[in-house]
Formats: sequence, C-alpha cells, structure tokens
Amino acid sequence: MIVGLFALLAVVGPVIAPMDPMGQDLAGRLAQPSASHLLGTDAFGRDVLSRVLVAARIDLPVCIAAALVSALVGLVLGAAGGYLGGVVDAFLMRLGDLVMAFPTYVLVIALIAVIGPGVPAILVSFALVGWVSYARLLREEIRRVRREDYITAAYLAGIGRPTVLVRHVLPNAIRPVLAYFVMDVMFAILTLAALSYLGLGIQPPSPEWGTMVAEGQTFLQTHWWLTAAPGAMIAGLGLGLLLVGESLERRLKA
Amino acid sequence: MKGFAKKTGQAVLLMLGCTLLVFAIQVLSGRDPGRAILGTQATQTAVDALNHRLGVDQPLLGQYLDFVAGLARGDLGLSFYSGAPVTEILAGRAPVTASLIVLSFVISLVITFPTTLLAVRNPGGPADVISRGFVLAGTVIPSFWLGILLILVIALPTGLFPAGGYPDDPSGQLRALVLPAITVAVGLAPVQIRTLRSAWLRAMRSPYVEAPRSRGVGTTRLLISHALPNSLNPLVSLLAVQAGWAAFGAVIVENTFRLPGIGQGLIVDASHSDFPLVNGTTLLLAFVVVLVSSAADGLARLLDPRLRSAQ
Repeated sequence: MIVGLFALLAVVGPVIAPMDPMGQDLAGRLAQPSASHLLGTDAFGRDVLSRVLVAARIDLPVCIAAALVSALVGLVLGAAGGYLGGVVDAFLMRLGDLVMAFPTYVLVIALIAVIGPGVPAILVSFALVGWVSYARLLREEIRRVRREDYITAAYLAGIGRPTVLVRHVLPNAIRPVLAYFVMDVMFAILTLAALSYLGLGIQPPSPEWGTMVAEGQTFLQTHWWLTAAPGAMIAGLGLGLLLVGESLERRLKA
Repeated sequence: MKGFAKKTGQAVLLMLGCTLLVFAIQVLSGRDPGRAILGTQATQTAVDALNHRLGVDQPLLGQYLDFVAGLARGDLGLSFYSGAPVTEILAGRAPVTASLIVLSFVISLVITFPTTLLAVRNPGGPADVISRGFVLAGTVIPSFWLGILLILVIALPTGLFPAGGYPDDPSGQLRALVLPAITVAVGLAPVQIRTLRSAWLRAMRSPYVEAPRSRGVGTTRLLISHALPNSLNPLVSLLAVQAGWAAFGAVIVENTFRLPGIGQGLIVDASHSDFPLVNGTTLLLAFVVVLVSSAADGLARLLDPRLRSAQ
C-alpha cells in the first residue's frame, strides 16, 4: 500500500507538486509554513512540499536501479558458481568473503571517493558491494533445486545444460531472491539518503531527501520542518518496503 | 588450539586480501593523483614530477609490494593534502570513533535485553507488539535524521548534552558522545532484538527448559537461568557482523554531531581526493572488523562447548 503510494508519487509527483521544485524566490526565503507554501520554503525560497514530493522521482528509481544492477551481477555470478561448482565457485565465494569483510558502506564511500559522486558511481559501487548476497542466495538455492527429481528428469529428456539452468533451475530458485530484492531496495534508499546527506550521493540542487536534510540542518533551531519533512519521507518509504519484504519472506516459508 | 591457528591464518589472509582490494580500487580508478592535488591549472611537467615523487608511475606489482611492506612497518604513506603521515592522523582520530562505537554497543545491549525479556515473557502480548514497533521504526529511520531530531528535542531545549563538538575534558567528551551513541544504538538494537527473541523462544521450547518447567519453576526464572545462556550464541555472532554497520553508523553520526573521529575525517578526505588517507581509513576499519569477527568467533566457542568439540 505505502509502496504503491510512493510509486504513484514518483510518477505523478511533478503534476501534483504545487510549485516548481527548482524555482527560486529569493525574496521569500525560509518562509514559515503557510497556505501558499504548506511546508514553507528553504534557503533559496524553493517550495519544500514540492521538493519533498518530487524527490521520490529521484530516490525510488535510482535505488531500484541500484538493487537491479546488484541483483543482475549477483545472479549471473551466483548461477555460475552454483552450477559450475569447482574452482569458479570457490574463487567467487572467497571474493565474496573479502567484500563482506569490509564494513560494506565504508567500502562504498571509498569507491565513491575514487570514482567521484553521482548516479553512475552510486550504481557501480552498490553493485560491487551488493552482488555478494544475491550470489550466495542463488547459489544455495541452485544447489538445493538441482537435486530435485524434475531436474534429473529434464536431463534424461536430453535437454542441454544451459537450457536446464535457465528454464528449469532458475525459476524455482528465484523466489527467495525476490524477497531479498525488496529489502535491498529499502537498504539502498537508506544508504543513498545517508550518502547524499554526507555530500557523496545525489548532488544539489536536485531535490533528494538526504541532501535536503543536510541543507535544513543549518536552520534547525528556527526551521525544523526543513529537516523533518524529507526525513519522514525516507522513513515512510522505508517502512513500506520493509513490510512488503517481510510479508514476501513469510509467504515463502508458508 | 589447532582451530585457533587455522582461524588466525584465515584472518591474516583476509586482511591481505583487503589490502589487495583497496590497492585495486585505487589503481582501477585511473585517477591521476598528481593532477588531483595540483588542480587543473598545473602544468603537465609539474604533475608528472609529483607523480614520480609519489611513486605512482612505477610498475603496479612494485607499488603494491611497497604498499604492503610499508603497512607492515606501520607506514601508510603521507596525506596528499596536509603532508602528515597517515598513521599519525588516524591515531589522532581513532579514539573518538572507538569510544563512540563501544558506547553504542553498550547502549544497544541495554535496550535489547530488557525489551526482549518483556517481549518473550508473553509472545504476542502488548510488550511484544511494542517491541516489534520499535524494531520496525529503528530499521527504517535514517540515523542522520534521528541524530538531528535528538539535537532538536533533547540537546537544544534542555542543554543536557551538547548538540555537537568534542571538548578536551573526559567528562565533557562522555557527554558529547551520549546522543551520537544513542543514535547509532537505535540502528543496532532492532536486529539484536529480532535475533535474541527468536533464539530465546526456540530455547524455551526445548527439553532442557521443559524439564524444569514441569518441576514448577516460574517463567521469568526459566527464561533467565535456563533458556538465556543457550540463546546468546546467535547474538554474539550478530554483534560481530554489526561491527561493520556500527562503523558506517559512526561515519554518519560523527558528521551530524561534528565529532572529530575517522568518520568525519573520511568525508573531508574523500572530498579532497586524499587517497592515502581514504585508503588508510578503509583499511583500518576493515582490519578492525576482521579482528572483531575473529574474536567473536572465539567467544562463541567459549560460550558453547558443542562448537569446540565439533572442530
């Protein structure tokens, strides 16, 4: 429900946003919330409500894309490891241990420091760090599924290995991955916001929740809503994704 | 003891792998350190000369061996920006971060144990529902935002704790760490509560709890003296994993509360493209995480004799 609402927001946000999120009104800087600006205006006189709404358009797609890239890389490597086994598998798993040994997001910061901030850097670094979980998950599932009778049956029917992998093993191994994917998007939302807050994610002046929190912090004592509104959006979207992810996990177990 | 030697060997290998990874990131970036330091205005000759002095125009294998050899001597190179030795800079910052992380874990456990005890006493009851609410909230609330809210509702109106900064006197430092540590702890506690709750409930269904229950031992006593000791292991393993999360939490919160630790430093260094410092910080954190998880592994063995005999 909540996720649907946010997804809708990402699509129609610009239409329902009462003002131009980038439009500056230097005379009306830091206005109190009022009928014309429901959440007031920021230091550049931009309408906060509009910015908060439109930011869903940046956060949600970037995070879904980040999780998708991690998932793709992880699934390909996990399928390779789980299916080929042997040296390939051992190498991939050790590589995974290595990535996991790092405090994950410190590694992301190090990567972004080297690549430079921006959306491509975010996608690359999230994927470099995020693939491990998908690879491990799929590898376990493949090792479980391949022992099932219907896989043996497929082999006996004379179907080639790649075809069996894609047509018969993957569809049966993919369900836990889906549940994890939703959780991953949630973590990506929180991480992206944190990175943007630190100035390493989405760069101003684009409306992004983490960036807006950082901008609002300067005026905390007098204009607390500048910080509170974008933070509440992050928490709300996070909660929605968390609940969806949990219900998916429960359905898997049942 | 054989298991111990094997674990130590694995930890050392893992740390060597970390150095390789950090080195690879630096090389693959294809960035020109000389250009990054001198800026776009500098002449190519000056950039080349600086690169030569930094040794980044040497063959890669030699560079990597130099890097590891320096590391073994406790030498992480010089900061591009200030020219001071990286190890010295990090040694100045690390105590702040270390105290913050330790205090965060203490606070998170102080939240976790009573909350979980109340929740498992009556699963599905009001206390359990409230603790689940806390788990959900703690998972999705961004830590930097929570930090700011704490500044807004506690630090500013009451003046009990500072809203930022880090004084020189120890008692002032402790007060400066309280709110940041609470912020990190609220991020750590939810997963601890979930883990402990399920382990605790599982232990309550086991025969060694059924036996004293049939003798008429009360629920609270059963929970604490019979079920709890056998539910601690998953929590200990979790704490090791959380060391890494706490490190990231500390990086964020140090920036919110302006604490002069390695997290605040890391962001500043990253914006300066000060790679020796960024890499040094990453390596330091990675080493600590490897050591902590090895230590937690050892602790888990001490707590559970079954694991000892299994090896």
